[in-house]
Amino acid sequence: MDILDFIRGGYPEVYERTHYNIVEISGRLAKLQEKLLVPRHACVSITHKSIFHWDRREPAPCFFLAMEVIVGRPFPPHSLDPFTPRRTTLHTT
Amino acid sequence: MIRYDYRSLEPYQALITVNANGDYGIYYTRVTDSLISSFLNLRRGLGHPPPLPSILKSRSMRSIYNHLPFAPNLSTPEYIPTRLLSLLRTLRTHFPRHRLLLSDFSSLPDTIPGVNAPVVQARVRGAAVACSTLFVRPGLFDIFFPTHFGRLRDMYEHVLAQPRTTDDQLPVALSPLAISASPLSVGAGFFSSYQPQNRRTPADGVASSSGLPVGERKSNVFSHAEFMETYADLESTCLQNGENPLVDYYKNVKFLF
Repeated sequence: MDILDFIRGGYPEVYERTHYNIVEISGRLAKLQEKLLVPRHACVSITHKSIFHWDRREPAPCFFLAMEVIVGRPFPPHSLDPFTPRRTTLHTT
Repeated sequence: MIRYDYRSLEPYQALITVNANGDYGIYYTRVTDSLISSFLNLRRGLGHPPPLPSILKSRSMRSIYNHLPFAPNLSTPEYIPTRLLSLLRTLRTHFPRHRLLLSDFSSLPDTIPGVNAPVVQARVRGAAVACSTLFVRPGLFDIFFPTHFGRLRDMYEHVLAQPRTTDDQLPVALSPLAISASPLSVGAGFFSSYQPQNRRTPADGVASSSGLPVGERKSNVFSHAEFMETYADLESTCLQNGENPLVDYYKNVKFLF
């Protein structure tokens, strides 16, 4: 939210061609982000999925942001997979 | 998790078992997991030494050690970042023109025993309580791993530098700034064999942000303070008492950029 507010406020010409994709493994958080972000920033799209199941090739230049992603997240009850990460890619082509 | 056999210095992978009562067990086998073997090969190639006491690298000292009574025959458990390796591969394959900005913990307090070991903690009435074993009921605990950023950077740059295989020969978006019509790889060393150490090998049709086919800048590791001093507006985050949380706090956080 703050990143996009910042770009819109300071660099409107960059904001115009920015797409912000969120890859979110948690269904609950994906819904929450949808509710909070999409009404305010139409350039956001949220994909509810693990990055390890990502199957689309993104040919455009983009920033890939990973904040506290590789440290690991709570173990989901059904799985012993220690990395259940969330990542975002930001395109400003 | 892996451990080395002190006799042969061969790595063994840990397998976790769960019995009908929900009790955990652990046993060790030769490395059969392909991700573990590729991580170990990569680490050997990068010259990252396994965490073994240097005294045991000599065969004769090993032989003496292994005749000592009660000496352990397996090294300390080492938690290896195999998932991190597969993330880096995903980045290379699916995001060929990405620029990575990654921030995370370089060290953590109250970790369980072992090399690169995680902290295992539960929330009890809002406070985090660390425990001393990995064998906890899934779902109730948070498990956090620290990251060795120097090694991460080497791994990342190495994974990105791998030549493209046929299955990822899909086109990348060309930059309007691209100034080369012929494959760069063909004449790369024609005028000079010099390739700057801090630049990646240039990709065909992709100019760096300067517009020159010199390859992207390689990523660097920054401490939290260094990163903020380079990129943040520190004046507006300074407190009245002169402290600056962006610089003074987060001592165990680093950036790869």
